[in-house]
Amino acid sequence: MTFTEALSAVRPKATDEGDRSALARATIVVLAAVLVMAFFFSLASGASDASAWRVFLETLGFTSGALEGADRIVVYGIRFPRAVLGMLIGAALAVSGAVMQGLFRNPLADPGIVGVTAGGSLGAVSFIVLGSTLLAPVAAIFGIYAVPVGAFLGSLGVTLVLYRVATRRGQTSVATMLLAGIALTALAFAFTGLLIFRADDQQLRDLTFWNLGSLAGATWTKNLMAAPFILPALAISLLISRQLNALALGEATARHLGIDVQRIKIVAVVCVASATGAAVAVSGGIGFVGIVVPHLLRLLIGPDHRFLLPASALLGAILLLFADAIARQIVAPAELPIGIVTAIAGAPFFLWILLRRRGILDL
Amino acid sequence: MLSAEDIRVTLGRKPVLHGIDIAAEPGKMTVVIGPNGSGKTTLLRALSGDVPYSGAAHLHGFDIATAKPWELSPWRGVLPQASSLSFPFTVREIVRLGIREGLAGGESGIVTAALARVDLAGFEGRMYQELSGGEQQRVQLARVLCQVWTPVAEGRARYLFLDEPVSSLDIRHQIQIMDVAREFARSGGGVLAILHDLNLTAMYADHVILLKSGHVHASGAPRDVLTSDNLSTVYDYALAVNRAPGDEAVFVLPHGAAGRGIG
Repeated sequence: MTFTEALSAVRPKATDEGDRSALARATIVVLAAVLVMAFFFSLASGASDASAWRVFLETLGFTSGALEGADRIVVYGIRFPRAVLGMLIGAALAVSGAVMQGLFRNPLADPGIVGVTAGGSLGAVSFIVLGSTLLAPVAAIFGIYAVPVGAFLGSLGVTLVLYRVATRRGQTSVATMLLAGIALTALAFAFTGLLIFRADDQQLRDLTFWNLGSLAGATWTKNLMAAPFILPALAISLLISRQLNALALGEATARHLGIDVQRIKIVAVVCVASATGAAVAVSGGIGFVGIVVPHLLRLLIGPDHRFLLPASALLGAILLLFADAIARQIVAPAELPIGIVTAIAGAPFFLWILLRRRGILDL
Repeated sequence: MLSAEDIRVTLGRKPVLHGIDIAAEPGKMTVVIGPNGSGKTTLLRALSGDVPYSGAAHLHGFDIATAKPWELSPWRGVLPQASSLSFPFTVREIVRLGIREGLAGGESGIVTAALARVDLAGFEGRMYQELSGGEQQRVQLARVLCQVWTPVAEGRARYLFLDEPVSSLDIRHQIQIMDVAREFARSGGGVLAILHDLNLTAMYADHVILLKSGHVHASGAPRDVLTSDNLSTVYDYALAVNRAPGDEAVFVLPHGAAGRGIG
């Protein structure tokens, strides 16, 4: 059965007209299956040759010793933490995008485009560069979490300023939001540049690669740094999905339906800042995942956040695993920063969305 | 019971409502009329908890100013004058938003029934954003109806707040929607509606509140409020109120226009 056939098999019957939840559930199941496959292919692909099937069997304990020596180290020591980090980051970025779009009531809101990522970068760089000098007392409190905490605070600051500037009486102006995003991004970059000016050689090398967005150097430590910020943010986002649906009708109507809009907005902002900040802290600026993934899924299963958010998490994870595979293969044995791959694919997609919406929406 | 005393609202620096007293009884259609800018919508927004006001407003003992959104939502649905939608939902998905959690079981039945009530049977699968303005307005009404599906619960009336519910509807659908509201009131619910059409007001209202510049100019039964004197003063235009032959229904003619035109 092809994918299309599988979809048409679950397409709603006449009485369920307009109800896309069966389709959405089927999509989530399919995405979950694809993610599992993508995960094992990601473990197997790369300069060192190990077939996905062998890795699969070995990982689940069906065989033992099929992977030996260097293969074993490469697969479990290097690729495994990297694939897990990729999935975490992909899910974080895609869900952040979807939640932010729900919050701003606009499908063009994306943490990368409106400066939330840049704010996170500034926060992270502050701790990377000043962590042993000016910010040492703070860094000491948070330990390995200092950089993600800094990124979280940077992202949170930008999101709050953005919301205040772009939203009046519950209505977000798209133009104001995007322009404010440009200003905030420029400001964050300027301060980041100022900090880089003070960085030493080793920090400089780290920062350059990191700025472009990369999963290189993924370790279990990095997973441990990011997961406590990303996983709760994903879980809490799911809890407010129904409220985000009502918010699509406007803040007043959402309130009439019994929703504490102010609280939902705060929860959404903190989730976005936490997930985006942690993603930036460990992998730099990987762009466009947050806009491409929710947009594609809305076309397929509709905008119901109860399904859109989990589906975004899965597709975001899949997309990042594929982008990482491409980044590792295309200039092998060297590797591209993954941010370049997502930008090359994502930026034209963003332009395509703009083209489609031109005329429907005033920008 | 919905009641409010001495409601005052200032928007920006402009005082809009200057001490309004209003009560909307269960089982009755209470209709607010008045010229543009007289404060009708502001009054409804204050009673919906959307704008801060001074004075006292209560719905079943809940202070509207301080009640939590989820305390009020079981007791009143609000149909705003205009609605916007930021994502491409289907009609079913919109109407379903009105159904509160815990009210599941027969969810899809309620959606279908609500759409039939507003003469949109079979529209479940249509994309909301592709509908005409009048159809969108009726979808929103279906959503509001789902929120207060049974007019009476736990012995207390639920309320419909309707801000110009028929403003973009053709004549047949105007009558149909007004019938839905009246039926809701006849079954024990309360209706507070803003209308522009004085004749629809005469036909449907049990109680009329005539606003002028943020004050209540007159309040009472339609035949007492809808008089040539009252209307001409408030709308600042010569309006003649007539009685239809045969029944006692009043109808309103713009007298000045008739005099200026072919007559």
